[in-house]
Amino acid sequence: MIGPLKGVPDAAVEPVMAEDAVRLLYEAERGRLFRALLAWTGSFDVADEAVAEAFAQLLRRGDEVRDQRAWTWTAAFRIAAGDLQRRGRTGSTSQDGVEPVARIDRLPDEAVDLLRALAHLTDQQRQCVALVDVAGHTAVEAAGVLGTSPATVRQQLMRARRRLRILLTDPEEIP
Amino acid sequence: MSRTGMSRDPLRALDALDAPDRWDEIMTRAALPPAAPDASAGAQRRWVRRPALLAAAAVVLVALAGAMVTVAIVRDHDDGGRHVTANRGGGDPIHWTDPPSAIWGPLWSVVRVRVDGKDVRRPDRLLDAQTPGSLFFTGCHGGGGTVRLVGRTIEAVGDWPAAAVACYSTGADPTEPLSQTLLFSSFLRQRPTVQVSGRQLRLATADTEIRLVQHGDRPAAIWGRKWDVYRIVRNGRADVPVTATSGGQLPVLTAAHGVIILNGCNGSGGPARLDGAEIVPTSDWGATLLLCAGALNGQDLRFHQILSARPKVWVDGRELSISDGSGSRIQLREHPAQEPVGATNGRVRGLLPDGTAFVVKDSGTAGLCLTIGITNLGCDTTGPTIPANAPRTVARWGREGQHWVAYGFLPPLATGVVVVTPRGARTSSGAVFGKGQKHPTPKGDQIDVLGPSQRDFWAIPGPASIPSMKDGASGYTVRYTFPDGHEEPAPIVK
Repeated sequence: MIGPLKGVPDAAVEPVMAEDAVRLLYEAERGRLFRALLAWTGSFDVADEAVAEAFAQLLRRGDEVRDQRAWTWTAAFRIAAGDLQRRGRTGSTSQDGVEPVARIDRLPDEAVDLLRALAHLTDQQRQCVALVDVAGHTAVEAAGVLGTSPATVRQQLMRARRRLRILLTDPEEIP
Repeated sequence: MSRTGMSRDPLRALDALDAPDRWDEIMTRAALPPAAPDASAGAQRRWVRRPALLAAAAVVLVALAGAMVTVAIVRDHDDGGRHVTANRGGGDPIHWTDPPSAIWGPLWSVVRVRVDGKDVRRPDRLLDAQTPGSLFFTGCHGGGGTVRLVGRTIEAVGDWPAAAVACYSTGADPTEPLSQTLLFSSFLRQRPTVQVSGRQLRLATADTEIRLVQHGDRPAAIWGRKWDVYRIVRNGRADVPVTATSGGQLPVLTAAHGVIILNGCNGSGGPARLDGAEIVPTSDWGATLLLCAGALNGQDLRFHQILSARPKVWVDGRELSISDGSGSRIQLREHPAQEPVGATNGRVRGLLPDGTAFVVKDSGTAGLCLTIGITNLGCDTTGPTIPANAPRTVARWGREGQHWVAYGFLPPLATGVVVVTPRGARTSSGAVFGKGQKHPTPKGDQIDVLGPSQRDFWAIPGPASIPSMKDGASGYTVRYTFPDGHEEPAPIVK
């Protein structure tokens, strides 16, 4: 016969496993990371794939990564860069860099305008806008992801915002 | 930070977008050998622990060696009796060492579909294999039915309902290509082969391959938590209502490390461990199955039978399923750790037996208002309307799905409230009380429920087994208690 649950700890909690920590990070960061990658690459597929691959690689590394968040952002941007290069070689992206698929048409107008405007910035400017203005990183954090200096990020941001202001307020400027 | 100088920041235009949840696929990728160059390696030295730098360098070399591989294309062969899937570009092969029968028990989540060697758009689809001999792809266009395993081959048994075309025509998911619909509908009837390795499953026909991973968390996520039973499934089909104790308490399963016990009216369980997803007793279990009568005893006996049958557990977040392998299953939700019950600012908050939160608010002009979960059920004058001439102390009953809340104003001098079941069982479990707000003086004395004064009001989570909304007809009554010990029944709205 079984009596009351004497001696059974109520709050016995299993230690957080490495996998659980990555899962939590994934839940916390995937939206922001996806939006930043979409802003930079203009491609749902590239952004979606880079997020998934970055977290898969993080899981493979287990606890050898000291700063998982920073590592994941850097990895995702590099994976996306590789993907863009491959797509460029195979001609699978459109000329203006914005994904020419139906998914874009289902976005709100403002989001489509933004993606089209971003496509007319330089690659480095777009990366800085994606990391700072879209994802909310500081210039220092963005510099860490991109492997450049904060001063360079700030300079690129200034130019990008100036150009975006024109593109977004006067759509005629967009070719 | 000034971004563009415009009144509405256009750089926030992407804020509403969210990334699809691909965690299951990420888990699979992490377990598979890298199919593409490790594009991230070498660039994050500052983020990597120094002792691991050498290992990271090795990863780079391995990745470079596989640089020509962009997509893992699989080929199969038999390796001394073991079925092996190898990456064409190298890497460790996957040894499908588990028996095909290991398909039974879990829900499987589709992570890759390949037709004629090409990936097709991955659907958010589950394969339900919780009942041996039965396979279903979930979703409107899913399909499935009774099957049997012949060696490594799935063979369909009998006719299955074909709803693909009808489902498609309803526009339930107009973005889903019809070809994919037909693929899922017919795939399981094309004698696919089964390969299982741990949490991974591969189903394949001559031209189609579907990769799946076990859906949900690792079984070990059961430990260290309490779980409330909310559903019992028998023979893979029928839901059996969960019977609460006379105190309105649902059965609770406690899974401390090394001990699993399910307490309903009786108790069942004992020392246990997990073997994969199976609950295995580590010493003799017992049960107090003679102390309760009727439905409660029958229910507890069923729990004991399921727990004793080395059942498989499946955990997904706050959901737990315990399946005995012969079509019987217990569904549980995590017991709320901290009950947000209390009364503040003219409203009371409480929890239903299944953990769903409810709020009763004294709105002043509109009377008492009820919200269950995320559903606003309205107030006395809108929603579950109370007649204008009803006494203020009338017992109100609110329902959302299987959830119930009884609530109302306390009569003057009353100090408590109790719900009485048709069999005379009494519960005030979960009762919460709050102070009402000052109300405007009503026009005339008819609008009693909106009467003036600052009054007490109450709410009690409905007993789990109330069968219908018709208060009175169901035999449930609300009684108010007074300091001298006497009770008065709450008025009933006819």
